[in-house]
Formats: sequence, structure tokens, C-alpha cells
Amino acid sequence: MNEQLIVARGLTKVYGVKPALDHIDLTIGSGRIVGLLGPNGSGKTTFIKLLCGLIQPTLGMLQIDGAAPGVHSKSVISYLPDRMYFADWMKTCDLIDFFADFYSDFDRKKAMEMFSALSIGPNDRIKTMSKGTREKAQLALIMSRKAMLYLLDEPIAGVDPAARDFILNTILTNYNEDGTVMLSTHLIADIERVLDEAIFLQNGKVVRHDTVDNIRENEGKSVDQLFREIFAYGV
Amino acid sequence: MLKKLCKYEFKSIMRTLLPIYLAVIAVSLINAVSLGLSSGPFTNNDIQIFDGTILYWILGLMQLVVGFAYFAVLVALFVLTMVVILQRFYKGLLCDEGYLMFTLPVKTWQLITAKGIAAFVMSILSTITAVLSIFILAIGLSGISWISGLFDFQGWVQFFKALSKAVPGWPFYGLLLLVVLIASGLSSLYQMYCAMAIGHLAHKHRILMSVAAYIAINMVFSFIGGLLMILIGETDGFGILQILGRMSYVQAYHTGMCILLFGMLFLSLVQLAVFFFGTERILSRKLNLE
Repeated sequence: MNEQLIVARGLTKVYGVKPALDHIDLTIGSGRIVGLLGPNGSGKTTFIKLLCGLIQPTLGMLQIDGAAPGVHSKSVISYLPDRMYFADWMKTCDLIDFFADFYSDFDRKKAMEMFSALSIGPNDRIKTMSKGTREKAQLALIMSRKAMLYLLDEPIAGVDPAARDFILNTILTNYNEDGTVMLSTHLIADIERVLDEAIFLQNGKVVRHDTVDNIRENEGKSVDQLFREIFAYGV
Repeated sequence: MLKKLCKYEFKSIMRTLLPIYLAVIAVSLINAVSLGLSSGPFTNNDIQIFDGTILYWILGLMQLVVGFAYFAVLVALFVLTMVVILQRFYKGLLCDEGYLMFTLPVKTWQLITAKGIAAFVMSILSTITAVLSIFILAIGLSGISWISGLFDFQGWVQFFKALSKAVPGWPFYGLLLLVVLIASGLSSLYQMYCAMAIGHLAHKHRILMSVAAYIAINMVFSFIGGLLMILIGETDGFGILQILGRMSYVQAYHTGMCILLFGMLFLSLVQLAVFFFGTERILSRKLNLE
């Protein structure tokens, strides 16, 4: 087990003059499911984008599996952005070919099975899929990789409760058990049952990073309750 | 990885351009037939019987429509090639698809090289299609008799003999000119990419900012070009003209051509390098997807 899958030291990202992340220090190991929790604008997406190498830090150090974000980290990270990122002319089979071409840890058979469970045909076009189906298809693809780190940005926002359950079950039953899943959300009650660890972000700072068991034992309350307390308005 | 990136790039560009290539060829063929019917090799006195009949008018109208369609598809070919090249870079890297491309385990230079290779090859294919369509029209207009001239081996030998006499060393100049054309073509392509990379740094009005960046780059390079011309004028071409003056005519001609072509090549390569590395640095360090 790699106890230092993600290491961040003094990690800072400034947009213009406003810091989106402000001197973050974090160490996250492998083999767990981590919730990146915080209200809108707390820096969740910024942190995930830094991990993916989509943006560069203004200050500080960030390592994934011992290396700064780059070709190696990108080959071990499976990333689900908060948007549709495929060209809409592509068919399901094109997407599978694409992933198989670029990611050596992609399991084509698994992807096919997940697509058929979702009753998405190999010749279905992205263009003709509904928004919910697109999200599920995208999730099926990124969960078909045997990645070290799965980064899921708001995977359950904007889908109905049944789809939410499907997505969480897909994550739980498909992720590489030696890998870590990090998912960002503000819908905590729905994901609390699957989390091992929780990171609370507020105004670009880590206000709490603990295991869910510790939170329950020490505070005597659920993660959801703690979230509501930490982020209570006007208190 | 570069090969795989190119594969997907060609796949997505071909989708749009292949139909228009086929349309250009099809409309050219129809045009060639319609031209051939009225003025080409198929005309003989028999056709006179149509004169003044309704068939004559229909034929005329058909020619007009087909001629207009030809013009339209040819314009569409060039406009679409341009639009697709710009769109593949802008939408494919700087919009939502960028989230996919920039998280692939590849280097940024590989992404922009794949875009450049695909765009360059596709512009050549578009040009070949246009030339082919004119060739088809020419056949329609004046029959196929002149084509045999193209396969007149003796004629070509004589032509090249005459060419070698008039312009000694022409294969070298021709080859060099081709390289210059390729370099300057790539440099104009990467100028557009660089302008889009600069434009995407803005928080809004990104397309407008890209156009502004393109114009600004042009102005900067015109300014530098102007300075260079003044410098060449003031120094007698860095003293080269004097040296050329002391040479024999043949020697001076050859040296002058070489300096001119290599100079153009050098300038194109410098521009290409500036645009390529500028784009690469911006997208590596300052990527700012919406």
C-alpha cells in the first residue's frame, strides 16, 4: 500500500488575485474512498484540476505516485470531469477504442459489460444519448480502467436518485481496490455510506481531514451533520 | 502516442471533409458532361435541332444551375477546410474536449503536432481535390485528346532539356522552393494556433481575442520585416550585393537564388519555431479551460 499516493505541500492556486486554493497540506494514501467536501467555490474542482495536470499550481508542491503531474500521473489517474468531454459524433465503440489506445490499464471487456448492463449499444452515438445516459457512459469508461487514482468531480450532481444509486454502486463495485477514489460533492448524505475519509474544504483551505470512523467516534455525529455545522451560514 | 493522436485527428477531420471532396468531384463530373453537351467534343450539327425548342432552354437552365453549384461547392471546399482546421484546434483542445485531451498521458507538444500534421495534410488534400475538379472540367470542355499530350514522353524530355538550358540547377531550386512553401504553410497554420492559444487566456470573448492576437502577431512580424528591409537597403544587403557584383553572371545568379531561397526558408522556420513553442508553452503552463 502506498501511503503517499497524493502529497501536497503549501499547494496554492491563485486566479487573478483571489486564491482558489490557499497553502494546502495533504497526504492521501491508496486503497480508500475519499470525499472532497465543501460548498460551491471552496476549491474542490481546482484541487482536482491540479491533480489532473489541467492547471499548474501558483505555489507549492504536488506529487502523485511520487512524481509531479505529467505523463506518468496522467497514465495512472482516471478522471471524470463535471462535464461531457467527448466529441459528440463519436459512437460507443469509438470511445472504447479511444480509451484502449491511450490507457494501457483499460479493460475493454469490462467496459463492454457495463455498456450492455446500461443497454447502451456499441453503435449508439453520444449525440443521440440523453444527458443522464451520457454521464453513465462516461462513468462506465473511466471505471473500466484499473487506475491508481480515480478523480470524480461531482459525479452525482444533476442526476435523479436512481441514477445516483447506480453511479455509487458502479464506483463501489468497479474500482481497483489498490487504488484510491476521490470524489467531490456537496451532496454528502448520499455518499456518506461509501466514504472512508473526508476532506472538508472552505475558502481554499483544508478545515478538516479525518477518517469517517474517527469523525463518528469523536464527534458522535455523521459527516453530513458535521458538514452542516462547519459550513453553517450566519453563525 | 503521436501516431494514435494523428489517427483520431484524421478520423474526426475526414468526417466533415470527405463528403465535401466527394461533392466537389461529383459536381465537377456533372459540369463536365453539361459543358461537353453544349460546347465540347460531343457537339455536332445534330444538336442544332434543339435550337429554339423547350429542350434547348432546359439544357441552358441546367447548365446555369450546375455551373452555379460548381462554384458553390468549390467555395465550400475552401471555407470548410479552413473552418474545420480552426475548429479542430479550438473545440478539440480549448473547449470541453480539452478535458479529455489534456488528461491523456501524452505531452502537450504531441497534441499540437498531431493537430498540425492533420491540418496540413488535409489542406493539401483539399488543394488536390480542387485541382482534380478543374482537370475534370477541362476534359469536359475540350475532350480527352489533349491528355495524350501529357503522356508524350519525347515532349517531356525536350521540355526538361530546354528548362535545364534556361535555368541550370532547376531541380535544386524547385526542391528548395517546395521546402520553403511547406515551411511557410506550416508557419501560417501555427500562427493561427498560437493566436487561439493567446486568445484562450482571456476570461471572456475568447474568439474575439484570438482574432485580435492574430492581427497583433501579423503587425509585429510586418514591423520586424520592415526593419529587416530597411537594414538590407542600408547595407547593400549586408554587403552581399557587392560580392555578387564581382562574380560571373552564372555564379552570381546561382548564389543570389540560394541566398534568397535559404533566406526565405530561414525566416519561415524562425516564425514556425516561435509559433510552435509559443503555443506549446502557453498550453503547458497557462492552460485555462472554461
